[in-house]
Amino acid sequence: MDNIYIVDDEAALRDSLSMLLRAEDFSTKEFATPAAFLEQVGDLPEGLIILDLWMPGMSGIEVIQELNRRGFTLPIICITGHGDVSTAVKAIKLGAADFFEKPFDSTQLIERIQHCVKEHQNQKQLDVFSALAKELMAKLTPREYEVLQGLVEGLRNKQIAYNMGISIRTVELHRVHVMDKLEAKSLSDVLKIAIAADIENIKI
Amino acid sequence: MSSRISLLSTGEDLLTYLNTNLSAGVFLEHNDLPQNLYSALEQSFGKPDIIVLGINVQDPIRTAEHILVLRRDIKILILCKGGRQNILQKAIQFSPFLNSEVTSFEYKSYSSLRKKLQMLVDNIVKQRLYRSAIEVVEKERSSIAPTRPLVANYLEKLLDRIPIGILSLDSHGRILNLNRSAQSLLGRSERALVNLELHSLFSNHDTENIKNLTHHALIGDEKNHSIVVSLNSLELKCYIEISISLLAINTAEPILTTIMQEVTDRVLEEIKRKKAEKALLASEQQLRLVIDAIPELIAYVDADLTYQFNNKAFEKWFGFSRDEIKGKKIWQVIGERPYSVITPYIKQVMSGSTITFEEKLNYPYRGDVYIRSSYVPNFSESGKVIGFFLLTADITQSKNEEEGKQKHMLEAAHASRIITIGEMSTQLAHEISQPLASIGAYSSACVRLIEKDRTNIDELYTAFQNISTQAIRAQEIMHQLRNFVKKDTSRKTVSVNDLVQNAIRFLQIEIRENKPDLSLNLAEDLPLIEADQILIEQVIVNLVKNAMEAMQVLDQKERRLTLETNVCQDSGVFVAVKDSGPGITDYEASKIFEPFYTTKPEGMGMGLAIIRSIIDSHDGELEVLANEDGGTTFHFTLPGTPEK
Repeated sequence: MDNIYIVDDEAALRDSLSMLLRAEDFSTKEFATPAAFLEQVGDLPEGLIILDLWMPGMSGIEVIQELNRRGFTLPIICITGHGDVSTAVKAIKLGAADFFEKPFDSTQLIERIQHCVKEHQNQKQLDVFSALAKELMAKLTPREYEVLQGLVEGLRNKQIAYNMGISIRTVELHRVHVMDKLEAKSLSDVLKIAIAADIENIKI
Repeated sequence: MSSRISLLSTGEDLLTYLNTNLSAGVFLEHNDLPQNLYSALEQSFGKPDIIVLGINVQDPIRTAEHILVLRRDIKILILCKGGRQNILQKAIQFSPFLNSEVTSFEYKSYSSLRKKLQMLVDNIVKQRLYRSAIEVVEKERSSIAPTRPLVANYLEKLLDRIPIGILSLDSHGRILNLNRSAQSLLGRSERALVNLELHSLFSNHDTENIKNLTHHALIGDEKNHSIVVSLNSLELKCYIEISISLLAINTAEPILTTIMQEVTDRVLEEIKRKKAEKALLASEQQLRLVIDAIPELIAYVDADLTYQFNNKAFEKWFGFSRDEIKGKKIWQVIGERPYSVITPYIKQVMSGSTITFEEKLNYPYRGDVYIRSSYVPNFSESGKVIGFFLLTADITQSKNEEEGKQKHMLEAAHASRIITIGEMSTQLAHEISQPLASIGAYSSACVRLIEKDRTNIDELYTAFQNISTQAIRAQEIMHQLRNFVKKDTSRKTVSVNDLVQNAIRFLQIEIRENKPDLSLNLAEDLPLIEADQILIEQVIVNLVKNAMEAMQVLDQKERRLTLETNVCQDSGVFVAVKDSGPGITDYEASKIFEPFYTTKPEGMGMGLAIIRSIIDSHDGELEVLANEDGGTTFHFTLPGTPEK
């Protein structure tokens, strides 16, 4: 994901930012008004948003609120005027990743953008993995699920057998089925999948 | 008045003796045999008073018994010889048929018997006299009896004279008799009235009432014992109160005693009073309607601060019913907090003065409300305040409108006349940050492209062109600021004292919040000077604002702000703004007018720099001094107009 969307009413700032980011191998798209951006955002590929909080017509805060309402989780970096800390805090509370005061340090901004993009990608990977894990987990029978819970809690086969009132042999059989169904090669794989799927009662 | 003594077997000699020696009027007889005596007694020729049984009489006790069986009330004297008297006496006592009338007598001589008989006869005579005397008295008493009807007659006359009509009715309500007052009340003679039914004399409606009354009296019901009926006599309507009671309850035929009294005056009075009351009620209701229709709150409060009266608007306002409000104390209705606000006004009105005031009250469930109230004391005849009337109007809306207008005006003035230098600095910073941010981004981009050796001449050319454009834009912004300070065109002749007053008025909100001890030492006869009124006002406003900000850290009591004006160098003016804040160090004093030097966390460091350039442009001087007693003084001078 290397798309950057710049929403700012200042043409010079949009243009300079765009050039700066292109020099850093990002692909950019500029929007002169919040309305134009909100109109197109649904059809755009994933990307990071650079949003000026001081714009005529619709404030940056309103843009964030609208994005939240529509369920977008794109990372947002805000740009504010001097001393407008309270608006910036509001933006952060609404889910913006960071904010920069004008005039800003270009190097810092680039670093921050790169960091945010990476974080977003990680999060997305995690989400995909989590969804996959949940899918796999759904294949388990209730008995197998119970055995899995015992494994997550770190119990021995013997203890699981005792808790469930079945023989150790049966537990071993269930364990094999769990490994098969979760496509896991080791116990540690099983645990990773269980945690990613957010299995109930995970105690640390 | 003679008495009779009968002797039995006593001998003729004794008879002769007694005949000659006993007192006159004593009639004596003698019998030899008891049988003769008995037959004489049986034939009832009168009876002897005393019978003397001679010594020779056989068995005298039985003889005496026989005599008493035949006739009672005869004294019997039994003669006996000496020594036998005791025996005889005992025999008498033991006889069940004999009584104290029978006595024994020891016969000694004629004379002793004579004496005894004489005594007995005398006693009998005396008794007879006493009896006849009683008879006379009784006779006399019975002769008085015929005078009783006279007394009844007197009572009748009395009844005729008393001014109350009294009638007797039989159980059917028919008149048996009546006194004169009753006749005159009913307007008819006794003859015309007797045997008439009383109720037939009255109109239909009253007839029933009288019948009822009669019935109740007959069954002994004590209630409803009097009614008022009307009677038309000689075209004049008169009213009569009738009460009927059953007095002669033991007679076979019950007699109802009826008392009649004319009460026309009383009834007319009553009717008049009722009419007046009705009229009063009607006018009261009208008044009530009027008062209830008034949208203002009206109430009357007594000296105990208890509501006695209130109108509809009052009920609606507080959401209580009239009955709930009446008798409640003021604070129970309006709430403790509003009460504490109006307490001084209540004190004033209770001391006897009429007052009108406006207040902001915070009623429970209503929030802040502006009211205009008038309190009018109510005086007793002795001149004491016994309560007050209150009239309260809700002026929240008009007040809000007024305040909104004021606020709007202030805001307009703010926007058009004075943008404080702090605000100007923020705007300036924002404006300048735009080109600076662009310049920064372009430059970084160029650097990165060169570093990566990906330079494209066209791209770099455009970037540098843009950088140059943005730099020019920044310069223009700075230029505008300088022009703003150096506006020569708006110079006028102004009074600096007026400018100080204007600045104070402009800052009244801040002054009210900060509450410094503000003193204005403004010199009279200050020369007028040529100056830009708005800029100089801005200087004063900003200096005062700075002073108050510096004193924010102090207790309110220690905040002292002094504004001073004076003449300086013939025609110039000197203005000082002195605070009691934390003061200023020499280092700070040397740096304070430099741009971007600031001690405020949010400050830009532009305020005093701009003030300095304003004063400079007026050819004046701005200085800062640390006060000897703590705090800081900023003062500036403005030169006077050169004499022509």
